[in-house]
Amino acid sequence: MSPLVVMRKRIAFLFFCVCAFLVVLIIRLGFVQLSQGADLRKKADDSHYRGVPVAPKRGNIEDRNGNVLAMSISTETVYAIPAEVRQAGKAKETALTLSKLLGKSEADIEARITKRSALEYIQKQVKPEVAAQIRALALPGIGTTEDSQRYYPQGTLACHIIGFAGIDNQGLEGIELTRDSELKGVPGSILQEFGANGIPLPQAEHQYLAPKQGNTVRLTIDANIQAFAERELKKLMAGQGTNMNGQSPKSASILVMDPNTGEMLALASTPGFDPNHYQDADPSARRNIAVQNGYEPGSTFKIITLAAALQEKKIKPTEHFFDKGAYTVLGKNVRCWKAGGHGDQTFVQVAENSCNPGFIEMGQRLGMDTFYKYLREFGFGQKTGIEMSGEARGILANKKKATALDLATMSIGQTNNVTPIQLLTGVSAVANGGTLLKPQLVKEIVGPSGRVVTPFEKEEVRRVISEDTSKLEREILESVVTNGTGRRSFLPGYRVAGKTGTAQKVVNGSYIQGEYIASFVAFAPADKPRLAILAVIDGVPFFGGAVAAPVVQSVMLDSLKYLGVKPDPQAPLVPGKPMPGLEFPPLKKAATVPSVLGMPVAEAEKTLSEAGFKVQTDGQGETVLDQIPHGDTQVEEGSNVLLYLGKDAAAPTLAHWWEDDDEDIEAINSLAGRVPISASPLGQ
Amino acid sequence: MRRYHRPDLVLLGAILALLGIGFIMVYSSSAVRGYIQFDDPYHFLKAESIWVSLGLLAMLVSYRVDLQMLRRFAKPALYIAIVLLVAVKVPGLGRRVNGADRWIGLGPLSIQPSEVIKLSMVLVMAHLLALNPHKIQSFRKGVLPVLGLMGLIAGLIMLQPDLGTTLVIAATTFFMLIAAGAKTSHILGLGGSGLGLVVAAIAAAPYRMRRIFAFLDPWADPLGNGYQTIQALLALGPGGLFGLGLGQSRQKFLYLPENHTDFIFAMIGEELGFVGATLVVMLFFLFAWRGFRVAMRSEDVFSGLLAVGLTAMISIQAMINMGVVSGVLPVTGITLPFISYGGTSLVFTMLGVGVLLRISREIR
Repeated sequence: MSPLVVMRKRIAFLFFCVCAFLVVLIIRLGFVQLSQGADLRKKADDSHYRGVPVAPKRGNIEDRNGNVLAMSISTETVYAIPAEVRQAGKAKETALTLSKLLGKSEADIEARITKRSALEYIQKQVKPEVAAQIRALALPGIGTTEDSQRYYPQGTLACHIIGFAGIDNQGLEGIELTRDSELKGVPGSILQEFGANGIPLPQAEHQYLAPKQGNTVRLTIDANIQAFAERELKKLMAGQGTNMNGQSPKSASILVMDPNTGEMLALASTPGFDPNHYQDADPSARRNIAVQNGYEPGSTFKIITLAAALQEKKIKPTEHFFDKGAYTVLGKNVRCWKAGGHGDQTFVQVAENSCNPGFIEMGQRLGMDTFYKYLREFGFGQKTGIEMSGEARGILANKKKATALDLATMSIGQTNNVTPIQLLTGVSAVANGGTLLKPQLVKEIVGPSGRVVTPFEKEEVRRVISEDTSKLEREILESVVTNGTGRRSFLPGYRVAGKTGTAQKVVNGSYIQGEYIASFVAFAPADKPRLAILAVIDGVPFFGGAVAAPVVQSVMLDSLKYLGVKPDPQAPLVPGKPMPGLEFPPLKKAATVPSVLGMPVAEAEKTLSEAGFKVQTDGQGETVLDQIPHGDTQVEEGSNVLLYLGKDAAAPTLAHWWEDDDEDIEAINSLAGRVPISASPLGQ
Repeated sequence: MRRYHRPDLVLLGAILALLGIGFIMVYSSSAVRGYIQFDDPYHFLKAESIWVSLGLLAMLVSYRVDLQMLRRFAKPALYIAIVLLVAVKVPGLGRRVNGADRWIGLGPLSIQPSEVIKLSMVLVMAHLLALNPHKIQSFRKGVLPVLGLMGLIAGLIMLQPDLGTTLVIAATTFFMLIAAGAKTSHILGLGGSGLGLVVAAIAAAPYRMRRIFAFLDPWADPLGNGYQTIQALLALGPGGLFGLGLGQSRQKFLYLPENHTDFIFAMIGEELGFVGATLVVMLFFLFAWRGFRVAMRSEDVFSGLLAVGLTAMISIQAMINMGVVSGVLPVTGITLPFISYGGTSLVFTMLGVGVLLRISREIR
């Protein structure tokens, strides 16, 4: 074969090889560009686009009626894209301009805006005006983005429930923490396309991904009832507590629950703090003692002992019991609080008198197993499940080691350690017909459009006593208020059931003398309870009824009126005859507080000091908006008057809500016997 | 008696079309780089205009040179090229770019001797193989001298180092040996030992292994060996069927390195899509077809082998380049003929196709 012929054949073969490769190439291009195209495009976008985050607006926390307790106000964040700043080469001038506007050190800003990062925050929570000025300057590489800052318009109100959120709008305590995921929303971003050198592309498109705003958390709390409770706590801390002799307790809590649903209407503790300035608060003031602290409940716990004894039919209300002044168990005497004892009584009178031997008898008749069964059924020694972090379980005496003497002291509310929320939940079960409910703080979750995302659902834990037992005990406890040791919370025109309690404090494992925890738990109306209220006051020298009952009485009256509960024409207007031997500490001479409402501060102080009162102030301003105690009430001579100051005298305050538009004012005023408890014959 | 007629106009058309696409794409891909590095988006375009003019001039010149005269130039040209190749290693003359000595600076100009040698090598090989077409049947007398020449040149180029050009030279030689009629056993033996050599080279330096096989899974080392492959794929992929539109590349914002030279094919895929990229592939197909057609129709062995060599050299370089960009071949730094921005490379490619067009005038 001639070389040319060979060559031509070989060239045909070579051409075939080239063609084969080109076909492979086209197939590969088709695979990369068509089949993998979308995927690679996403990868390319991911590497080209960089987002400036747009913070979502954190949802509000509101009370059950939509009053805002926590909200987010718009602020802005100033950021830098360091690559652009470096490219413009004006880092120094930019830093100087920004330092003037933001009040931040020039060196610090310069370091930030030239840092090796894609995006650098210069300052958060910048006022919108300042941010607008910065935008107007159009500094190279400097931008602003929406942000928000948490604001608590009601200040200290319900501080322990709400908790607070930090600088990055992250929930740190309280509902802000437990509902963080619902409140925070989902951040959006402004996406912009950048070159590999960090400079935005000239004709780059901006993609705006809207943030998803947070949901609103609506609490079961009623801001007004919460305010009534906090008003009483303030009064106590100001040394204005009835029968407190001008002393202030160490701490106190008031809990208000709807016994039918388990909704908490108020959960107030003092000392408190202002969540707007939570950093300045003493950590102990941030403690929610109503949920996190246990105490020995004392006589208030007798409600549970009584419920168990009635349910197990170990006693009959009409059955007689003789109190000789002490109850002997295992050779030891547990004395009645009344020297010499109460003598012959029915078990109703045992309750009225809060007679210790009578309740010890109930405990002994129940026996260890049954008593512990009821402790557990009522939820003691376990968390109630209320939505607050750090809830205490309380401490029950070890059943295996418990003796008959322990049973005796437990029957009268000693030895065991319970939390205020446990006790109120248990008492609510007694009040509502016998069902233990989970105490709840969140009524509903509402989406940004106003749609209810999660509605409230009552959570029944278990039935603990029967309907009949509940009804019977309601009547007995009403009698405690009308005729017995609870009469300091007697409300003319309303049927109130309640029980006092005084407990010794345990410090370092032993009881300390001369300082007590006074408490009072009540529910009303006794026949059809709407409210259950517990006040626990730590660090008082007196019996519970004398200090805590008036507090409950005051919150109860204001709340019933506020809720529109009409006075019951069947209810007694005066308490029954005082029992012989009911002893309360003597009071100082009473004096009438002059009204200084609307006066300038200086004048008010002069008027009060002339009347022999000491003055404390709360708030800022020149005008007295409110005072505690109110004008014309009688209190101990020479005690403190707390003045709420403000700028606008016309601003309505909660303390006088019923004087504005309540048609029931005449009704309540026409009822006889409504006198300040401190001036009532009982106290004298 | 030679019959002269018009050159192959289809071949010329394919060349001019590729040149035109290249000119536009060089501008589109280099505008950002020019603006950032030289404050002038037209910086590279201006230089490219000069190179394209020089290239066209070179084509016209070589087109006019008589093939017999060219054949006499073959050996001297090779000697000059070898001297230049050695000169890149001489300090003061050689210019180091990206860690390789590939350039010789002559005042403001810099030339790439490997481009010179590619052309003169094809010329010399065609000359040697055509001296006595029957000698190719003997391995020692026919194949070995050609292999020896290739080994010398490849060795010098590997010193730079320049793996891409070495590959092109080896493959072109192989093509020419096949076309010249080397025995099938010799060809298979050469192919086998070539493969063995590659395996040995990789085994000798494990970093080559990582670099070479990075293209199979570029995402394993996205910032290192896989970086260029990934950036090329991130240009091709978003291009889709019709591309982002001329000038709309996003990868040219410094994401894709060498985007106006070695990776310009990725820019074509991004801006003009699968359609544009396939068009370029088809133009190279046209070029190879017409080039090999010229070789097949040549009436003497020398011009036939010369046409095979020139067509193979350009086609192979194009195939390797497009294979690298689309991720079917490991990354080797070579340009896409006619299209990539590039001085010497473009001028000598045009010089080569001038010769090819010249041959096309003299075929049946």
